[in-house]
Amino acid sequence: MSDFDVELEERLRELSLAFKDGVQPPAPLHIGVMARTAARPMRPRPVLVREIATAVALVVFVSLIAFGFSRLRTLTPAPIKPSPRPTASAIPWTPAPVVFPPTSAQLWTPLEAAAWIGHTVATLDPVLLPSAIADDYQAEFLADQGSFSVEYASRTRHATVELASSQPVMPAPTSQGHRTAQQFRGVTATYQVDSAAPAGSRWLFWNETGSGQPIAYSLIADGLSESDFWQVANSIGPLPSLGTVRACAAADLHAVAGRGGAATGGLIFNLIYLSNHSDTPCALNGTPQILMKTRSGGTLSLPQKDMPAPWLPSPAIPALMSAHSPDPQLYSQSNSFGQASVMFAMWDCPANPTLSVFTIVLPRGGGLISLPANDIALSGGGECEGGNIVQRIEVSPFNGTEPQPSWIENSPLSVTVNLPDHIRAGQSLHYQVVLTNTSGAPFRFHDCPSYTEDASRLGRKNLASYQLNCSGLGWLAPDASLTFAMVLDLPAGTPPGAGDLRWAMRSTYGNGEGRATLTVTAA
Amino acid sequence: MRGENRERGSQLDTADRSWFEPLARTFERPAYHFAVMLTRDRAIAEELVQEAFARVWASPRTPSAEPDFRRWLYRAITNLARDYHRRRLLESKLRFWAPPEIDPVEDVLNRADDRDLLRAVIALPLKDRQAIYLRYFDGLPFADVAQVMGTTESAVRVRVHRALKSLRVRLGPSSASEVPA
Repeated sequence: MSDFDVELEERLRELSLAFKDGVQPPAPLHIGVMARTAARPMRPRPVLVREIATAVALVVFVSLIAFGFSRLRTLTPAPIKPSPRPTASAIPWTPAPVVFPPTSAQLWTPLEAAAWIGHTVATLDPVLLPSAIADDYQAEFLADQGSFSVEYASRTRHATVELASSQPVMPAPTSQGHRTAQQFRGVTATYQVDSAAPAGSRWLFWNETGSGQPIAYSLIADGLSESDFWQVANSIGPLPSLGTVRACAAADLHAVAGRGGAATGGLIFNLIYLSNHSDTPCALNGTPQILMKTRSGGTLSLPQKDMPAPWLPSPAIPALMSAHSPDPQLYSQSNSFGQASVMFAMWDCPANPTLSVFTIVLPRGGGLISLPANDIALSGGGECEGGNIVQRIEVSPFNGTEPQPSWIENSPLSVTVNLPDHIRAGQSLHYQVVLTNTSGAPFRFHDCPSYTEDASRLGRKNLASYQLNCSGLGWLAPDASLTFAMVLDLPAGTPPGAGDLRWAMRSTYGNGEGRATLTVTAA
Repeated sequence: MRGENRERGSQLDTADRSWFEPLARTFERPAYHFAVMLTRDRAIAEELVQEAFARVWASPRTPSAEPDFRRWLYRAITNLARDYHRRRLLESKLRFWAPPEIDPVEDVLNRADDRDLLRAVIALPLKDRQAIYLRYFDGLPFADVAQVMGTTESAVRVRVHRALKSLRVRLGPSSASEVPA
């Protein structure tokens, strides 16, 4: 590749920033997307008969091809990939099948991570988090409705703390370490110190007794002294659960409303955004009632139905309204928790009266909020054609806002590919990949990353994907490295010459890539 | 994040699609950028992104894992953009007058330091533009670009190489010196 190409590629990358900065999506794009999806029925999965017919056709097709080939020549078995020869001091290669990470971890401050976890983990009780995490830590976490794992890594010193609602395999302590049983949070916990190092790895496993089955929690740390570790452990406490938060009253809330956007067929979605301006958190649960008044002073009695909103959690999760949550802005993407929205659509045709005021009736006697109806509208479209009489209002449940996720893109591990000077086509390439912890904090593999080796040449594809042999590895200190042995078959037809070998890693905790020049000689 | 749902596998759960909205929030913006690059029209891009999400939503086979979801979404946008360009071509043949050339990225051009390059990229044929965008604007590996474009990695490499060559020709030999520091 010429210098000009490299320069052009760099210019394109720089240009992408200006392009994306200049082409801002329209504010109601999200509403438009969700409205369009709401109006679109989901297609059912293909019926079983069709799937069976397809499978039978495929089997017949493959059989015919195999039969044809068998008539041409006797099939010889494919060569078996040779077993890898472990390189001294390198972690041996294993042909573990690739498992791509199903999701990505997120990166936030400890407080923001606590908000995410509290908002996401709905079925675990109690959800425990430490409060004695200093400001210089950042949090990487995974959370779903029933479990979570959060890792706090210091940005100023070599220390990492990990808390999870699960227990990994605890390795055996070294001869200078010890494992003991001791009381923690009212139960007998297992505590292990891996070595005699003052800030060595520490493990604490216990079963937390909640309202249901005991939950297996684990607290793991590296880089903390004994006293620092127990300071964190003893600060662990439950997040306030939604069940204990009071219901919001109308006096707590500030509301704005507007027309969200139209899907096809004259359907108009109206939106209400709510924030809590009181001094204490509260929760909005269920579906409000919406009442309308016309400009002539009459009350519009439209039969209310639940709006089909399959993009919302089912059953609906109450919206936690944090104290003094920021005032909502119509059509803007929320960047925090603590607000809620309600969507509704209504029809009153052929009358289509002019609306003056509408009222939100909070569930369970929470009170009334009235707003001018200037910016909301009745739907029309096909249902109303031909003088049809349509009268109804569809209202969604309260839905808590959440900010844009902050996925972890890049792994804290840098990748170096060490190749032999040259390799003959038709041989197995034995090489090494060195992963170095560049994060500044101790690193531990939570999941074994998948990786892809790409030694393709023009006209000759050579790709392989496996899972890294990383299970059972302990903590990796900052700037420390791990060397992994790799094996890749080079087919005999590989064109001779120099070319890239690219090694790319994907994991829940970020991606990484390294490349080196591979020189192939003729077979 | 609806990790549990997204971890269930590569197929959608038709009963509960609560994971859809976070993915929509995540990918609306990049999808819109991609659509603007393909259609060169902001209004069409908005319509096209909404339709692409609706199609992805409606399909029972849409993957729920993030990278695969993005590939499906981008494929849907690509197909819609291709249909849009075919329609425009047909319309232009049926009319005595050609529809006015759209230049909705004028404001972007005003912001971009490297306007000549942006003009050259926007003037590329659809598939070249798509490959250049995915490779350099979205930073995707060639393998991922190939999956979005429904072709092989080597074909993508060749296409990108040719598109770069075409850009080089359009920019002229002196353009390298115009790059801002």
